[in-house]
Amino acid sequence: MQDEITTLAFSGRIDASSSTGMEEDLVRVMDEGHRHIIVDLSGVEYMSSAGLRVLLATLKRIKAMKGELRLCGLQPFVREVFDMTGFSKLFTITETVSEAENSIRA
Amino acid sequence: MKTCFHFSTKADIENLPQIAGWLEETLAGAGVGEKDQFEIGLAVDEACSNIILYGYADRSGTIDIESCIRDDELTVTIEDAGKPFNPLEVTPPVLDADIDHRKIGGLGVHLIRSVTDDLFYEYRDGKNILTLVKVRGAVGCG
Repeated sequence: MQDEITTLAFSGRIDASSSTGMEEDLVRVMDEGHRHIIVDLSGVEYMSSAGLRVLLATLKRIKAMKGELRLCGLQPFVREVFDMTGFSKLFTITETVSEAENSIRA
Repeated sequence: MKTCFHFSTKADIENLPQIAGWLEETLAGAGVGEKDQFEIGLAVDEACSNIILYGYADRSGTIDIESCIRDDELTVTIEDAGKPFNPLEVTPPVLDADIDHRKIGGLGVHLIRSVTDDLFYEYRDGKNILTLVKVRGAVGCG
């Protein structure tokens, strides 16, 4: 079902060398037609602008697909990067995966 | 007191974690707090990403980094022989634009500016020389 919720979890450092892996995973899921996506960042200890770029491109595409994107579990330093760039206001961010699921179904 | 460390590496995108690891090790070893480590590390990662992806683009080269730690301040100088690029001239992104008008670029330099207290750039003898200065947070709250 295309309207099922797909959850992807990432971990470690997301910099310009590793962001391509995250991008490939997200693009593959969207190519398959999934438009309700939760990105679990609870295992991500670091993210640079390379990761932000991937998430912004994903948000733009999900919006065009009339789907919903949620981010959850941001660690403090990742949250700081979101705050410094205004991304905290651009994305719907929850603490946990289940809160993200509830907010999509609401 | 001032303590400096040097690191030189091939300008390859795969080497970014190695640069981050070296910086973290030297800063942690000198007692620099976690928040300061993260913030100066972010600035260095963004600057080196730009050098590798745009400065050297499709050719190879090296990046030389010097990190100096003082009681009250961290200074990191990054040198490369890629295309001349002055980050101080980059137009700041519009941070409150909505999703339809939000641009993908310009975030790296914005983050560098956000986490540093001073930034100096010069192009000398065929090299970009970027100096990042960060005032250290209070001891114990780093």
